[in-house]
Amino acid sequence: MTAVRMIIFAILMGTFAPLAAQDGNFLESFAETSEVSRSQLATLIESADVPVTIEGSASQPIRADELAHVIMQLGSYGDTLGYRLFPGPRYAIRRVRDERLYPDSPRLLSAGAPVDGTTTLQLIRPALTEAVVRPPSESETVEIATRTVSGRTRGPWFEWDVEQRGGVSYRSGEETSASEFSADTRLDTQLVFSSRAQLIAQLDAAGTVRDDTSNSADLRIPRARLDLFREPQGRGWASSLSLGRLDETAVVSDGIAARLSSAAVISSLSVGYTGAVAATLNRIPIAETDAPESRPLGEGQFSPQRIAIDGTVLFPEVFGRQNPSVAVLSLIDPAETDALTQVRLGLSGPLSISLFYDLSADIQFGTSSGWASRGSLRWYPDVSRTTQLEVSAAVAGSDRGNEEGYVALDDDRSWSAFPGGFTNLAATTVSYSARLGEPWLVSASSTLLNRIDSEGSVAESVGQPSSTSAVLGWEGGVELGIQPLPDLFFDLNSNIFIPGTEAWGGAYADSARPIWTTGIEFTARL
Amino acid sequence: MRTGTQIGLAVLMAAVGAVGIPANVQVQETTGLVQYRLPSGSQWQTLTPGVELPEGTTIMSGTNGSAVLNSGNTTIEVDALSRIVVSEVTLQPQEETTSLEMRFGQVRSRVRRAQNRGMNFRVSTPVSTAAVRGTDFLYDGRELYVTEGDVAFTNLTGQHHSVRAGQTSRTWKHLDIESVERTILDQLSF
Repeated sequence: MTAVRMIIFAILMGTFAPLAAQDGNFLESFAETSEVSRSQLATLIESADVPVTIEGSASQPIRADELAHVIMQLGSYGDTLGYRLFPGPRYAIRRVRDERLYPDSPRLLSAGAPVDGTTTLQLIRPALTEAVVRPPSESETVEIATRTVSGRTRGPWFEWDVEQRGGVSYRSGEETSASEFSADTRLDTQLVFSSRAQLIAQLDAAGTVRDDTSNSADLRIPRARLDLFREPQGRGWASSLSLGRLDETAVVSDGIAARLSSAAVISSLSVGYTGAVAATLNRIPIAETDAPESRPLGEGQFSPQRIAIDGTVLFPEVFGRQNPSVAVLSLIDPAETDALTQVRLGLSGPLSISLFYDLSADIQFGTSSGWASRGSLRWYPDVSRTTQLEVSAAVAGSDRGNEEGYVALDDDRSWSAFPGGFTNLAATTVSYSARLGEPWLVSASSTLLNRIDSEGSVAESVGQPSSTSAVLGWEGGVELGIQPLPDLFFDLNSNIFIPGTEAWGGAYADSARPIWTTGIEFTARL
Repeated sequence: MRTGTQIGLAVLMAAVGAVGIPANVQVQETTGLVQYRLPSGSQWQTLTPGVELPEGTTIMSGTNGSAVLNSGNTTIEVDALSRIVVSEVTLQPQEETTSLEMRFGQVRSRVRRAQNRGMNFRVSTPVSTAAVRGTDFLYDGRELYVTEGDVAFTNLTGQHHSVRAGQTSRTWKHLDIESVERTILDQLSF
């Protein structure tokens, strides 16, 4: 008798519970909810014919990553390596971000954020309606495995994300050959105190071991960043405090930065210093011609929508820098991305001996029309800059693309006038990318570098050209990739650079022989 | 007097034409559970084929529900788990207008161009609006996929994209609109 009652109860649940979850009153109140609870979500998905587990206190709001886990359990999206090994909210939210169901940026919908009713319905709708129980004629049995566990309190929790990239490449020329092993690790951690207050730490470690004629090695020092922000839904403020230490080939940069942002305007101000211990930690002897790259001592940014203002101020009297102080104003039309064809025109010139200007404008059309413009002022206080006027133009485009692949073309040309002569430079790149059928990917590119109708020399370090027009070099490359899972990627690439005769003694290596570079790289996100 | 009558009729017709004649949306077919609530009522009723829906009617489809609606030359397929409000349906000699407000869900719309009559079809959501003339598109409030014709896509901040056949656009709350060829979207995503 008891068994019969259970069967009847199951049938009634299978018949009426889904209907209750679809009722207009229920859905209307669900959509009005500012923070959807686990029990509300459980009621909604009872109409699905798949076993779904929701853990946690029934009355507590569901978090964005937990909602992603529910969506993954509904079965519309394929597994990743991480989710297959450790099925749970952590890998689920990454998967739905990859699928672009969730916004890419965690700042827009962080893993620990509660989700309002309307957003929940928008996010779960595709998976839920696909997995839904069809009318009785199409489905004879209904299994409801929704489970809520009460009594679990939620305290601070810890989230982490690691991306590991490794590679090896081999380069050979006439007199030199080198092999390089590289590994990059990025660790993102979040300590979530509540749904709207988090502490974020980011740790980057990049290592490269290079074996060339100098037998030098370059080990980079990690960089850490701490962000603490409070972000109410919709609008609000966020602040971050960054502690940075970045060690690149020839310079060490330490600094501290603070940022305050709101939903519409992001303003930041950072100060820092460039360590005078450049490269000593790297054990790299710095050649006289390899002056340390300058680091800005002061930076400012103001970026309301469509306008970006950047400023960099240096203190050349301290370090005798070569790089300029720069002020940049950019006006950006939102449609500037994803265009198929782009035309860029630019103009640079001197305003005085030490002050230069840059103006450029992009016009883009194809998928959508748009434009972007940029103007900047450069100040060289040590007057080491060669006075010159430069006009640049570029055309970039690609075809509309199809299932097999697409072709892209990029043609850049610049004309520079300087004391004693002028030069025309042109670089044309044609590339082709195609999928060979899942999961293979292949691409090829060709770049031709030319100098046309030139005279004089740009600098004493560049040899006097023997003719006015020349092919400076050609570079071609092929790449074969395989992505068996969304979070696992292998890449095999090979490039060859063949310098033209005019490149001898100039900007390129003093070699008439081609330089081959081959490499293999893998990337895994764990 | 005759001239005055003609002028009066002309003014009346112009006034009617400017305001538009309210019309109804007809339900062609339904699947699963779909409910509607009239603007004057507070109770949800089951939607069935043949029902006429005036302006202000709210339509709610359940997780297994869907409906096909007709409004003039426009066919609207309301997918499962959608909430639609028929905010405006008017017929004018020179133009017919259908406006929907979609809080959540997805609609597929086929707007057929009518001879000597302008078509004005618009779907608004809390974050964006899609307005079309003679087109076929799929729209869930955040992502728009156009299969035929052109769609004007506008987000909360007034940014505007003209999305053509074969393209998809998306936005998220106050963010910029992204538009891209759908075939490219699925490639090189790593």
